[in-house]
Amino acid sequence: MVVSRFSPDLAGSTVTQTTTVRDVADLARLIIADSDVAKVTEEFNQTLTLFEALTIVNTDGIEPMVNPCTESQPLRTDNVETLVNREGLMQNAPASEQNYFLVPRVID
Amino acid sequence: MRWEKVMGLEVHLQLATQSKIFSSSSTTFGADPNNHTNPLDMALPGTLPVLNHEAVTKAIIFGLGVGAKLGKISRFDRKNYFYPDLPKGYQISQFFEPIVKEGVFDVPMPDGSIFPVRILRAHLEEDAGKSVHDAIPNQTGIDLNRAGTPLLEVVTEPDFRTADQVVAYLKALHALVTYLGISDGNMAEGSMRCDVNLSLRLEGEQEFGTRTELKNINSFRFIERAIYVEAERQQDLLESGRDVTQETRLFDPDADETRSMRSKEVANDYRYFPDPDLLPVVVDDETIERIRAELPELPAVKRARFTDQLGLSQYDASLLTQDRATAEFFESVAARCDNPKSAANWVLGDVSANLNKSGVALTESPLGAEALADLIIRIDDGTLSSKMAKTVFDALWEGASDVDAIIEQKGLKQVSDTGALQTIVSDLIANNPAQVEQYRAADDSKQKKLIGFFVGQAMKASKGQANPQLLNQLLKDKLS
Amino acid sequence: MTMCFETVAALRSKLTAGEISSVELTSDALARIADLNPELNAVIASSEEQAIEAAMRADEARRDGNNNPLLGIPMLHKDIFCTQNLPTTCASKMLADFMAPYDATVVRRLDQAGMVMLGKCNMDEFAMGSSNETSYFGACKNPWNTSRVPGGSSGGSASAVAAGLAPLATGTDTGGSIRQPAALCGITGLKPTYGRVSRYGMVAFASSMDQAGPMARTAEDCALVLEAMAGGDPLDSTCSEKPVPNYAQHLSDAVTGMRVGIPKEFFSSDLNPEVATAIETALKELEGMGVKLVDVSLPSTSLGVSTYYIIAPAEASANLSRYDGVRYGYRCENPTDLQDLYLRSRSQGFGDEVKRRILIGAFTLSAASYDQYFMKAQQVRRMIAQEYDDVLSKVDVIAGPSAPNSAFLLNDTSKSITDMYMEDVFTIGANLAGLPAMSVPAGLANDLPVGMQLIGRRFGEVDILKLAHQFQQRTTWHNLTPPLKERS
Repeated sequence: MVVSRFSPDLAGSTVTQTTTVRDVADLARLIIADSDVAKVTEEFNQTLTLFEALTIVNTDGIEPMVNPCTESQPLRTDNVETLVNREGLMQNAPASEQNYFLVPRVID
Repeated sequence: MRWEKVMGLEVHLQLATQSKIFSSSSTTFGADPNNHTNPLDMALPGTLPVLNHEAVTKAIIFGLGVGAKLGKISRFDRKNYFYPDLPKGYQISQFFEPIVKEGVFDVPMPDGSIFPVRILRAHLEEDAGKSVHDAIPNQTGIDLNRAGTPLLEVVTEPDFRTADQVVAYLKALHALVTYLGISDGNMAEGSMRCDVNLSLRLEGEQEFGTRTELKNINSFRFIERAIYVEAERQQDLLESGRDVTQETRLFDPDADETRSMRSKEVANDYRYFPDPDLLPVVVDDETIERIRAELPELPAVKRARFTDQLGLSQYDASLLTQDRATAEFFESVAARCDNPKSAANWVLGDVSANLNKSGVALTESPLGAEALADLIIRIDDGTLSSKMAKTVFDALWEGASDVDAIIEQKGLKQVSDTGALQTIVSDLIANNPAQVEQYRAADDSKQKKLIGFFVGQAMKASKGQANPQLLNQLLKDKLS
Repeated sequence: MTMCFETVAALRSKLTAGEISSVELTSDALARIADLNPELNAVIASSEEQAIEAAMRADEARRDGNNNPLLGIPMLHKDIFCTQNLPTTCASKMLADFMAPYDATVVRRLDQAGMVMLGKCNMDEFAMGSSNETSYFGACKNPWNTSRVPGGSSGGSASAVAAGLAPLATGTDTGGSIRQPAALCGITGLKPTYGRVSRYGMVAFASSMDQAGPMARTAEDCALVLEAMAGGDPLDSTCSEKPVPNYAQHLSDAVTGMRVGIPKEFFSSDLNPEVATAIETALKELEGMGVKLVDVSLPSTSLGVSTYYIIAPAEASANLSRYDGVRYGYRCENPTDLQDLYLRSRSQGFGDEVKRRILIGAFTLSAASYDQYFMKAQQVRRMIAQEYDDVLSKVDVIAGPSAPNSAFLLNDTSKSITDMYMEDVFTIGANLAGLPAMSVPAGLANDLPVGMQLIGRRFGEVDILKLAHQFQQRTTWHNLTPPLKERS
């Protein structure tokens, strides 16, 4: 059974075919400098050309493979265990105060 | 133009497990910031999720509770977006193949009718952390204690048309999950969070309009208000020829309006894909049957039993089954005293009133089910008048536990001895000739008022213990 | 420095016999690193004090009767494994100062076996690359010819072992990142079956393909180390609970009658002719061992690179979302708001190749592209895996070259990005199918090492290890050492 994808989050909106490299960069929170856009787009397209070989392969009825394991998900007992204390967990925090991680104020 | 509201609900239930869904951190509420976390909750490099057995069990219990088809093989997917309370930059959820599939949940409405709600699916996912905006100036503080708490997201079809239906559904859902013991289902505390998808269409239309999502409204009252306010807003837009924008909105109770959530405005493509760190969750028939066998009696079944077998009204049955503790308390009382109607009246009346007044939950009630049942037994066997019963009740509430002992101590036994009462009545009549004549001369309606004098005197003479019914009967006989 | 090219097995004998101490071995190794690393740049960070202390503890343990085969042997970890004692950088500016508050399972197990960690090895940034040129800490050199690459992404590990800085280094392999550098540096490297070794604490690149494995001088050493690394881990859902065989004990099991498949697609025009010649000679050697060579076909070989370069970047794009400057890692200066924090921290913290792959990954997962690219690739992946399974039902092991070329020049601007991706053409199949595979030194091409690849069935490490071991008993390629210019 092939699982086909639907996206209720986009229901009602139009999906365009011309996704730009900038759109993708926004999604991934990456900056592409104006001076780099052409180069990055070119590299991007080069890689996409590599993918064209797949489009002609007949994969009807083939179940997508997520990973090579054949087992089912092991289940963990519902026990509380602390592996590392808070100090260790927060030791690399770039900005923290009163045991919170800090980011510039977010307004909802 | 008559507009119809079309609504679907997404309710997130925090599952009452000890540890989180993918890590072994505690789920207990109220810890110091970031004190209930593990490397996985922090999304430290190299950490991996391992699924909590109990979260799966509770999801299955829910599925059985709404008679849903179960996803015997379900999978986890990554929902990708950036927000500081989402440490991995993706939420592990079940998008393609949920653990619970279609079902129908029968919601009892206040008028006694049943409103069937189609459950589209229920799936497991992890909760995000918390953002705190006022702890440090110009900064938002991130607390990841909540990150990773197991959630069951219950999604309905857009079957709702009124706010009343929505509220009834939420109440029934709360009852169900507390019965099943899978969640506290508490809106105020955040263990049950409701998002309402709302759109309008003209009555008679088949197509759905553009919907907005109202998020994180934490009381029934606010939900009703938010629905009303948002429907008005959409109606204004549509009637003036404008479009409704599909977006997420918050309800601001102070301003009495809904507002667009700015932080979520950036167009989001969640790029769902199967999470390669987790394997398919397989639930076999044996496990399902074992869980089914251990299910408590569901509210709907209890309600039916209360009305059909115990003769209670739909209304009373609904109220009594709103949570498991109340239902079970009532059942103990009813079984022991064999008078369900009386038990219902007491539980829904005086017990409920006293609990509200003292702000105490039923599970901490000073009055036990046994004692209440004994009280009702003594009323039914004529030992206590209803007035005296109240006195006993108060004593029980204060901490006393033996009904008979209280009756004895306070000498509350109702005087039902016909002989004794006859004496009192005869004496009264003999000593109050004027009133007797007045009574005999009066018409029916006036007699009803005048008899009060004799009743009062007789009560005084019997120190309040005369059986009122018997007394009335005797007086009527003797006075006529 | 006569000890520096000894195998783990040989060092164990000497340690047990009391001929040397762990402290001596460790100091020698540290001195050699100090001498050669400035040129090679194979090691990012080392901790002399802690290494000597660990060595002292090992010597003491030996005196107390501990005779674990790995006890007291110095080694290096690829800088992708979380270690509490040294930063874990993944050769990225993003994690340049990151101190993990816990050890990876692999680190813990080898530590418990008594190995002495000397330091962390250079690699391609976040394991993305085939030449170790994308490292934030600069390129690593191939000890055989320092104007050439060691391969990647475990380039530092391969270079270090080849140069005798340590007898063992750990590596990781997602598309060939253990096997290809092992081939280019003339050492032996093993990528276990997917799920054989725990991934907990190993910074994730492509979760459905990443595997940790040993890189050493011989198959025997790989067997010894794999035994200590492998086995179930309750912290990794994808790690198998299957019992771990005593690999070392099976090395001398009979190989006569084994069927070895040679895929014709592995000898395509992608393969450098000198490399092809060396491999053909090596295969004849296998025949001389009583093995039957069988012609087989893996027709989807040409689809492997496309499939891999859709799936791996897609998984990576999600795995790398956690690097956002909030809880650890690089944060830009004076972020003006949340989006600025994300954008500048990530753009400044990641190198170009990493950013390229995140972009491709985010693209193939996006709504308009998912079915056509990502889902398609996952379907082709199953096809490829099925093909390997079919072939491996008719033969025991598949053999061929590890890499299409020997070590190429550093800063080779004639190589495009996709040219670089093609370096993985022979190794990628084993990652997509989750099969165990290793590279053993099998000859020279233009005075540069060539590796032969052996691919086994799932959990069939015993087969490839015994074949490799007995090949190494008949050949001397693995004993060759590079012509290094030592300074002392």
